[in-house]
Amino acid sequence: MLRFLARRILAMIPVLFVLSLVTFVIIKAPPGDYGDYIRAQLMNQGGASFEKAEAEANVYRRQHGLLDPVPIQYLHWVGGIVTRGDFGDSFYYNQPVAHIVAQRLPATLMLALTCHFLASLIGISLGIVAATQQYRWTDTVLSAVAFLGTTIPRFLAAIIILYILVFRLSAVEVGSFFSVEYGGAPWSIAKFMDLVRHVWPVVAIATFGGLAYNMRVVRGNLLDTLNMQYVETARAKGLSESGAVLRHALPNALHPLVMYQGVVLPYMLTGEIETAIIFALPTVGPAIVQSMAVGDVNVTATFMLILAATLMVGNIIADVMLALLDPRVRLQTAIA
Amino acid sequence: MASPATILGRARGAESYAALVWRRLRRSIGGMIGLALVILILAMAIFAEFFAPVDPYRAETGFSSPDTISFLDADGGLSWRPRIYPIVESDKLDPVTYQPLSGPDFAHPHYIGLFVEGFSYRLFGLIPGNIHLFGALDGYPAHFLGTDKFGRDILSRGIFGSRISLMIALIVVTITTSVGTTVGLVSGYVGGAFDAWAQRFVDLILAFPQLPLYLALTSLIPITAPTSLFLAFVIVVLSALGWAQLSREVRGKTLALARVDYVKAAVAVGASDGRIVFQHILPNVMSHVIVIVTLQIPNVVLLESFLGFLGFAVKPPLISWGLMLQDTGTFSVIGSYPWILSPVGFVLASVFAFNALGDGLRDAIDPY
Repeated sequence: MLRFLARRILAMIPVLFVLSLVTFVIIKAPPGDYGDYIRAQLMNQGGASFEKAEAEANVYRRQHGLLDPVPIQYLHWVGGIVTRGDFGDSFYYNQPVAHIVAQRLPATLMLALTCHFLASLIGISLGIVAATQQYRWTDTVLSAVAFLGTTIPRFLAAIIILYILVFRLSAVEVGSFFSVEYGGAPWSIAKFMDLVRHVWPVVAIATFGGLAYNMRVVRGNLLDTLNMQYVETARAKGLSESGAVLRHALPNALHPLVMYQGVVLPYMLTGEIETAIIFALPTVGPAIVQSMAVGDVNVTATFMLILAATLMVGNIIADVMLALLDPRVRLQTAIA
Repeated sequence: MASPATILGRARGAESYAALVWRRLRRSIGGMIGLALVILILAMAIFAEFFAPVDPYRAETGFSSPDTISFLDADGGLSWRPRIYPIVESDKLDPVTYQPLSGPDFAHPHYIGLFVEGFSYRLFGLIPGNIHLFGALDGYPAHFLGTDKFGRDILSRGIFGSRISLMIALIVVTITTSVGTTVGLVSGYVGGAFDAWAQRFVDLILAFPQLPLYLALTSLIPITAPTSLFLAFVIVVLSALGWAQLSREVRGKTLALARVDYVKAAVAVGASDGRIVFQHILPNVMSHVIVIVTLQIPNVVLLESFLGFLGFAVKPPLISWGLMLQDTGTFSVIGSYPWILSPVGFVLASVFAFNALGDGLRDAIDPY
């Protein structure tokens, strides 16, 4: 098991390396850099002439190594990560990228995990209901819900909810986690409720899609296992219907779902990113879009790298869970 | 030579695979609704000139609100003729703001009818015509969904936009499925070192956080490129990542199929690799691929509209749903002119249609 884990984690390294290279090159390829942003700002806001602004921008570029060839810049950035764990500095925020990551990544992960947890919990429960009530009206209704959940585009739902909140219900605070009065306040129940009031649309939208997926998978698998002979045996020996379903059928229906978690994770993460962009919550998604717009290359590249690493770790966790859950898989990985 | 009896026997005996799939699809209500909607949407895209009531490039007052269809005549009585009362300014002033008051002009209704004459067009650049499915009988440019910031009719632009949006989706999906299927088939069938490397590459593509990467790729497109080249770039960017997942699935199926008895038998009788792949493996993978195609089309439509919302879409002389959603990114604009959100309806309708069809197909492709 440990060997399997170690191998999987080591296999991540080359992938992350190539990924960082590709990302960096793609971001750097189009003309323009953060110097251009400074120049534009100086000309628009400071009223400087083109020459003066360009000179200022060039000073900045020289100081921050933006005039070096792209391979050198890349080596510089990667070298910092590998040797010092330093992701470079953000030009726009004027602070180390690590600080920005520390501010935004926990929020994103918490949101994504909350959605994930809710989606699994509700999705599995509804899946059990749908499978045990097959072809009755509950099943039909739940199938319709699942169809809506998987098809309603999350960003369109976000735009519409945002519109209703802001212009119909006159919500004044969007684009933040807390109301002003809770800004620096210590955690309390009131603060938590305030947080819920601010993030529920994002959580609801991302959860809805995820729970629909989970529900479909559980329903499909549970229908298969419910026809198995051991379930029939369990019923025959006098177990209650719920006992037979929950103790005998469900555990065997769950492991495709666990296997599926590796696929669901990117879905949940993109869902969080999409809706957070529209609600302008201070999480990773808007930071990527924003940094891309101004050419803040270290921030963009770092976030891409971290998101990719998160996805891969998620996949590994899913595999490990599967191995823990299913002796057959464990045996296979031991042999392989 | 086969005797007539055996031919007849065949025809009466096993039904073709397609017939079986169709028989099952016909029973799925969702799938049939999806199919009908898909046909309708495709017809709308192909015959956009006929379906659009107003010239999509004709500019009038910007951000004018949707014209409401009324069944009431000037006295307030019910009437069977649908009509629009144009909104006009009167000489009366608002007592508070001293702005001229505006309201419906009951004296001059514009009646609405089917198959009316409107702007003239050439269907497919060939067939001249000026008949439109619906519109005002007197040629009044009725804006059923209001106008955008340049005063162009949103409904007509949405109908015309389906052309580019669906075309992008169809081309992108064609590219991604051909690449994905080919890579998957070859990787699964050839195996060995090629398979290992191809799969590492697919791993890499799948590891990318997709949305940010799409955004990064879009910034590679030179903004000064001519319209058609720009469109080609958009298609290339949207196809860049979509093939990987499919290739993984096709590879898995190919690996499983390569061990099946009839493939082993084909190998044993000395069939060529090409024959085995095209005759024995590809047909068995095809049904899965077709379902993926139907389910991928809405994804590309969505991606195009989301990137449009974030400010990246085709270049203006062309019309796409993504381009129409560009203006909706600003709160103040959607607050004052909520009807510019209506292209969302087109996107939703097509997403629902293709997904419903895809779901129906997925259940139907396994008739045995």
